[in-house]
Amino acid sequence: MGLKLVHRFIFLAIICAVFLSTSANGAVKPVAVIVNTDNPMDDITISTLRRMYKNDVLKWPDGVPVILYELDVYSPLRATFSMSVLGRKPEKIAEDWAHKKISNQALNPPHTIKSERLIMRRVSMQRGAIGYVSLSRTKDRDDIKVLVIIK
Amino acid sequence: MKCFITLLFLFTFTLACAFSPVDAIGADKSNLEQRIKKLEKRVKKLRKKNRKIEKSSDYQNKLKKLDEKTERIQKILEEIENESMDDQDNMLSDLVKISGYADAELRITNSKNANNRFRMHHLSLFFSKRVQKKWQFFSEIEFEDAPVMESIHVTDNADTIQGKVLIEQVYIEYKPQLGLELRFGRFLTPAGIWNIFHYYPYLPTQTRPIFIRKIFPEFSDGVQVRRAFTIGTTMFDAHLYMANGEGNPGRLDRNNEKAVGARLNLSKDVLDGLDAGISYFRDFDNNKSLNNSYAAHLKLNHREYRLQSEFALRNNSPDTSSNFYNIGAYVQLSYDLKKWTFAGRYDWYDPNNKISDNDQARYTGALNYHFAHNVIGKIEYNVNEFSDPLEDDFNELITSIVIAIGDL
Repeated sequence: MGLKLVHRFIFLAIICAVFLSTSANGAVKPVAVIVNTDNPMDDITISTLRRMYKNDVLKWPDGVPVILYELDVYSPLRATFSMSVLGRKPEKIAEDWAHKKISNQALNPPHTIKSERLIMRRVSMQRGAIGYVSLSRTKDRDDIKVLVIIK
Repeated sequence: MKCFITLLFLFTFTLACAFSPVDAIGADKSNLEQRIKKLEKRVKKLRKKNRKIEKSSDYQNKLKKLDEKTERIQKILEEIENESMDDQDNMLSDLVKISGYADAELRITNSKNANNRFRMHHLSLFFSKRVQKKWQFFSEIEFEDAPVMESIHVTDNADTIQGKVLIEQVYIEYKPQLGLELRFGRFLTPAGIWNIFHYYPYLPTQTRPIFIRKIFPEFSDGVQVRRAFTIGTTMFDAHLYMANGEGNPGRLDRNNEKAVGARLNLSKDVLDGLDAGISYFRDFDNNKSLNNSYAAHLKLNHREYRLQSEFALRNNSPDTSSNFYNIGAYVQLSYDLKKWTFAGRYDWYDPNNKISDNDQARYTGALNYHFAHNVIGKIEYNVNEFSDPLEDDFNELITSIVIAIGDL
């Protein structure tokens, strides 16, 4: 009887875990990494993207300086981007940047903008800009270019 | 007869059924036609009215004014957008950026040389101003131990003056392009990791490794060039500088020699980020000793783990005695778990390799809780061991609360 109860408990725990994990996954929106239409690149690897957002790459292959945009530290979209591309939580990445900025060692820190709409507007206006927004927002937009989709 | 009446009833009923809906539809249709005609008349009237309004000068004037207002609003919006973009592009801003951090501690120790105490350890304020597109001013003013300075002295004894006010950094920076920076003034000596990245809201411990500031100076007054560039998939970040040398900050330089130094850091996309580098500093100090300092550093991130280590040594060549080395090293491992950070560190320092039994070692364990990304509570326990039998080992428990004030 006791063993049965344990089995039931384990079963319920697994169900709960699966439910929680699937519900968490369900909330994740696909992220589109966008650049200016004049940018000659048509795609980008996650590795290059990571190096760019870590300031290990400062210029595009054609020599244009990279201008990085990112969303607010509490944005769910930034959490997806941060975990998928940078491998760490946004808060930790933000702490690293804060430490670099306070030491005046940040070479080319990302500009944090709360609005996805404004990120798209800035990327559409600045040749070296790169940012990320929800994939759904990029539909029917011919003033920006999607380089990669992160799911 | 009954049969005839029944037939007649049935016939009449059938006729009624057959023709009455047609009549209803016909009635509806005529009603609809009438309503359409009425609506058409109303539309004609409205069109006539509209034409009259459109022709009237008052309407035209109002329309013009509205267009003008719309244009003005659009221009203002564009200007606001451009201004904010200029600022984002590190162009001229009207504001001085202020940032900093503060930490308050409770230190409990069994050392014979210190008492248990509260300590308002740091208040550091950073001021930064981009005065022109390529020119920036940067400064860090540190108030350590909440200094008391009075114009009317309560006591004349200098020993009772509390705390320290220190201009840790103040320089003018010229940044002609991304990845190239020239700094003139006082800057943190670019050496290793800790000498540059030592700000307490972003460190797990409240104590620094023993050898830090004993092999390379904390800051230097002089000129520095920083160049960052990528070769292949490796990022190179180089600092070159010339300065007055250790012990010569401020107005006087007490010897004619100038110190030179360099730091090179490589970043690779290994695991979740690898940084490795070397540092060098050459100084002829005020005691007529030629000192050559060397260091190597390593930082590796993997998921929530961070490994950081430095090794440094200085070859001291005094004018009147034989050479000796002072050597130090530390290894620190930290792990982030949600709002918690766990850290452990071992560090060691030998101030003179020619003298035996003068080493010091410290074992540190630390636990941080991030109330928010800029408010951190810390508990740290360290065990300090001395090889010199005349020195007493001691342990220390430090609890602290640290806040970051903005991040520039």
